[in-house]
Amino acid sequence: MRPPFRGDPLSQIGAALLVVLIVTSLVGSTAHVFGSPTALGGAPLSAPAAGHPLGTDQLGRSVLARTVAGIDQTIVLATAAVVIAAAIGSLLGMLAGYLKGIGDDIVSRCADALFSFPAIVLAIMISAMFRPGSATAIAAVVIVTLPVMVRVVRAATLMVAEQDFVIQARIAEAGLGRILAMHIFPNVAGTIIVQMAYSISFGMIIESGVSFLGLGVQPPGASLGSLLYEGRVYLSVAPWLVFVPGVVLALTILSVNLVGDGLRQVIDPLLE
Amino acid sequence: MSKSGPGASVGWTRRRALQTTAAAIASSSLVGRLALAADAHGTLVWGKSLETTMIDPHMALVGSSWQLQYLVYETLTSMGENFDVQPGIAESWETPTPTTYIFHLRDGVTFSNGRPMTADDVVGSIKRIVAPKGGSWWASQMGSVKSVTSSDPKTVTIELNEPFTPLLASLAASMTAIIPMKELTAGTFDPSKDMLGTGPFMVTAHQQNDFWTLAKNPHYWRAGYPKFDQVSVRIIPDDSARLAALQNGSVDIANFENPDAPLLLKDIPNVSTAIQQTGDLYTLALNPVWQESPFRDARLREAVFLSIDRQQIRDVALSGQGSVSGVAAAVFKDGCVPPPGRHVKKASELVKAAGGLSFKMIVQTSQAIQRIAQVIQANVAEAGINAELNIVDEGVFVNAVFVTGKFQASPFFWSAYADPGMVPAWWEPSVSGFTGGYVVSQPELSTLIRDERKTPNGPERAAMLKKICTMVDSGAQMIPLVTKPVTVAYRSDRIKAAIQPNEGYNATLRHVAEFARI
Amino acid sequence: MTALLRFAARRLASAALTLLLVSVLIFAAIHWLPGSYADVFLGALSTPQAKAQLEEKFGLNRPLPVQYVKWISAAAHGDFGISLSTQQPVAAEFAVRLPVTAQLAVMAAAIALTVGVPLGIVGGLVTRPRVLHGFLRLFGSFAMSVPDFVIGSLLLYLISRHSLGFRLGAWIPLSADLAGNLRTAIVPAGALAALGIGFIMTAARHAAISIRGAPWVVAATARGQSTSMIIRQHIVKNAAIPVVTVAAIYLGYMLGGTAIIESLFTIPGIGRFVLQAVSIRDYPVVQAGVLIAATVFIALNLAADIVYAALDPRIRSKASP
Repeated sequence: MRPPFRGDPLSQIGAALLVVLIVTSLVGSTAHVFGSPTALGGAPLSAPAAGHPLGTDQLGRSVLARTVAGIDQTIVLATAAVVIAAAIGSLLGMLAGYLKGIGDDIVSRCADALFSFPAIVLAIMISAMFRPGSATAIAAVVIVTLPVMVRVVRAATLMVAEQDFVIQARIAEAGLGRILAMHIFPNVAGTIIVQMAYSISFGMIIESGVSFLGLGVQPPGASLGSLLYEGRVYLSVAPWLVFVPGVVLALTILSVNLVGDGLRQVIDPLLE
Repeated sequence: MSKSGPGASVGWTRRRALQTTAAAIASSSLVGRLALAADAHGTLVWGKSLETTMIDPHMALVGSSWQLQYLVYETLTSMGENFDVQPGIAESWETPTPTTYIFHLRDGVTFSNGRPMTADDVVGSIKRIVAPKGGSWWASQMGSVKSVTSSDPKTVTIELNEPFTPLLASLAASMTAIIPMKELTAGTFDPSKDMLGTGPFMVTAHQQNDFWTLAKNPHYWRAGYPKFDQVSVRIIPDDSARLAALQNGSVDIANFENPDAPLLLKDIPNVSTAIQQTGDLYTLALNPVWQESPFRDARLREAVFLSIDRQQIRDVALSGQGSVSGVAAAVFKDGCVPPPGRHVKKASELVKAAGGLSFKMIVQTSQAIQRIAQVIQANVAEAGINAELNIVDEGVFVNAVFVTGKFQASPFFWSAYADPGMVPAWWEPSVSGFTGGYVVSQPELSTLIRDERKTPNGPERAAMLKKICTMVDSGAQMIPLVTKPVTVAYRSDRIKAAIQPNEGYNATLRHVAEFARI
Repeated sequence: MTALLRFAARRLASAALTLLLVSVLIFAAIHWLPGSYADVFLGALSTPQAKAQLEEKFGLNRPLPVQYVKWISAAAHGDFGISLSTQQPVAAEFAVRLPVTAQLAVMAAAIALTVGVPLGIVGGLVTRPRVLHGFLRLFGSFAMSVPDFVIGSLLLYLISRHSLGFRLGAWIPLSADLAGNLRTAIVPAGALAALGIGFIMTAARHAAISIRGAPWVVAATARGQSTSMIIRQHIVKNAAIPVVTVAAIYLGYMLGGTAIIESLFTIPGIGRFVLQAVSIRDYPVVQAGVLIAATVFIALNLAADIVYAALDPRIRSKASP
């Protein structure tokens, strides 16, 4: 089997990094190999040492365990949200791009309206509207990433809809569902996947932004953003509380971006 | 100088909009020059963590408002270093009978608009506070006032229906500020929009959530004070930004609620740190009223009470600051320090007998409160209780806890003011008048609270307070946890400042009139 | 020409409709949040009478559609109402804060363009050594991956320890003291610029790559034109369109996107003001803030679209926007 992203070492590194992060967080959350993220045992704000490889936070919890839990939350939340957004957005985008007319106008205007909302304000209002927690974080990311998905899929559908085989299917009086599923969808699937990658990275930024303001993931759970929120004030006495989650967050987002770039190259090889 | 910008009008034209923008920018540049003066000799810059939201001193609910009001307003009595009552606007007083207080007002007290304060202002202000309709929430902390009269321009007499021991301490609260009644009745002064008092400073500019600028009161009664010409208050909600500003020199003095503030300030050169003890009480409310709250069952409340570790809350969540306390705050002379009552085994038995316990805690975004909640969560887990945290913003918290009462548990804090018998009133809805949404009346407690407020200070009152502490703890509706100290830090190389070791009313800058540039 | 005008008119119409939708959405959303303004203001001492009194005073007890119509018709004339918490006109409150956010946004965009365009073009044109090419691409991706608040926290810490001539914690208006203002503004603008550098670098790089392979450029090279001439004459001109588009969108995004950085650095801008207004349910402020941010964003997108259409006739003849 050929390695993915052949000839594109950066995307390969990104993919490898992402795999490492995911595996680490899965192992951490199921097998508790890295310690408990909620136990209050250790001495608060202690520097990385034998017992706690990445130090402890202000309540004496292990930074390593919390960071691993944070990776899990950050990736899972963003991915789940984007999968939902992709499902809804693709359907809407395909319908709008294929049917055009008034339906397209409504969908496009709504997508534009949502898109022009300042993302962080939108995410915070959603967090305030519902009971705080993972479900709400997912809802916030879905609503923030949905418009772009709709627009991108719609634009792709517009191009595909003009193609001969689609016109022939229409002439043959194939049903709407059949045309969408068999002719449109396979041809826009690549675009959807690429957009999903970028939306996941944006979703992670938004989720950590909301957590950074203190309104996201609930303790004792942790997302990388909430770890930054808690640790920031201790930067002068315990810098590892910021550097560890900060670097891990940047690397996670970077790996997703690189994978997205690689995927786009596969879909649209004209670029580079 | 007017508050932020030109007035409103309906139907703006484009040209008007442009003019307004230009004027606003011009006024902001004037403000900018005032802000620049912050660096000059003569202006004290204070980094404040929260904006003042309620301007009317009689109605203001939260310490963040009182803090600012003490710069502009003054009260009949004042607070000393150890929660003792000191003279304020009233230079001296007598109590010929336990229900009669005669105050002698000092000379020279003048409002910042130039008008000398008279006994009528005092009488009017107190009457406004205790008015049966539209009065202040503070009225329940003033006892039962029968009449307020003045026989001459320098004397005011307050008559009570029955004795009320905390009255003198209560008259030091900014909620009893003396406001200019003549201007209020004439309609030229609206206390909900403007501040006009007899204190050392007066407001000259305000930009919501950003800053206040105050200039010295030219008519201040204390000759030679205040030493500073101006105070520039910068609202900096973010702890590390406030720390950076102090370190950087952009602010001269700042207050911190983060329990680790002393640790973070330790290594900053030229910074003096004072930890001010307050009676403010962190409490865990377990709601016995709402249908969907498991805490209607007293056994479950007791289980939670027995499983929390107040000492660990103090040591870990609050980094060793404050004192474990009963409802009569431990910082007061007759306050209570509860005996160590942690009994995890008994708690788990109670939980098993009741069929298990799982509850949700509504938690505000404040760091200290989040930490307390997390320690509580870990504590109760040892007894087999599952506590889930819901961190919400201000609006949701107030709505859930104070307005609708639809919550199961929530940690928050009450201000305990200046007398151990004042805050217990909130534990008795018939006395407080507003806590009925999440507290059920205990008739024996109600009688005891009314009695202790009538009893003069002494061993009898102390015994009553101890009994109240025990009853509150066993009722476990709002469990007192730990007192809440405040960290105040200032640049010792730039200003001379005096911070009281004890403060009941959030008057962090109580002695601001004496602060001076080095 | 008429095709362009028709295109522009159609776009304008849909932009107006979008804006109307935004107004409905924000009005509904902010009123849907649990806890009304009266609740937050009165806090622990809320009684039904006090609440009713307060709601009457601010007109919050009228039916929502009525309140919406009143608000939106006034807003169309530029009257955004009165802030519930300060009781000053919302427009005046914004007029003081908008220039601050605008300054940050413009500075961040300027930094992003100055750094991003050259790096992007170089990254697109340089194919050997491959390490350099890869590194520049990585740098662009990395700039887009680090959230602004992470960079901001680190910078805040750094500057508080070693001032390096910068100021923190006290915003000085531009008109009062230019030097002081720049010293305060440059650090947060820098934190904001990272994302923009990433975007613009990537856009410039892609543009440079696609133009590099274009026939007329190859022909110019064959004719012996110098590299710098080619860059100036063909690459920069053609890369300008996508880069300007991205820059416009980035500017528009920042009108709401500066909120976290403004909170971090205590900057009296619009983002922080609106964020705080959400938590105290100051409806007129939140509504106006989102509407203005959306208007700017939509206007910039609209301008970019029309410029694109003016330069590329194929676009304006397409069926729908």
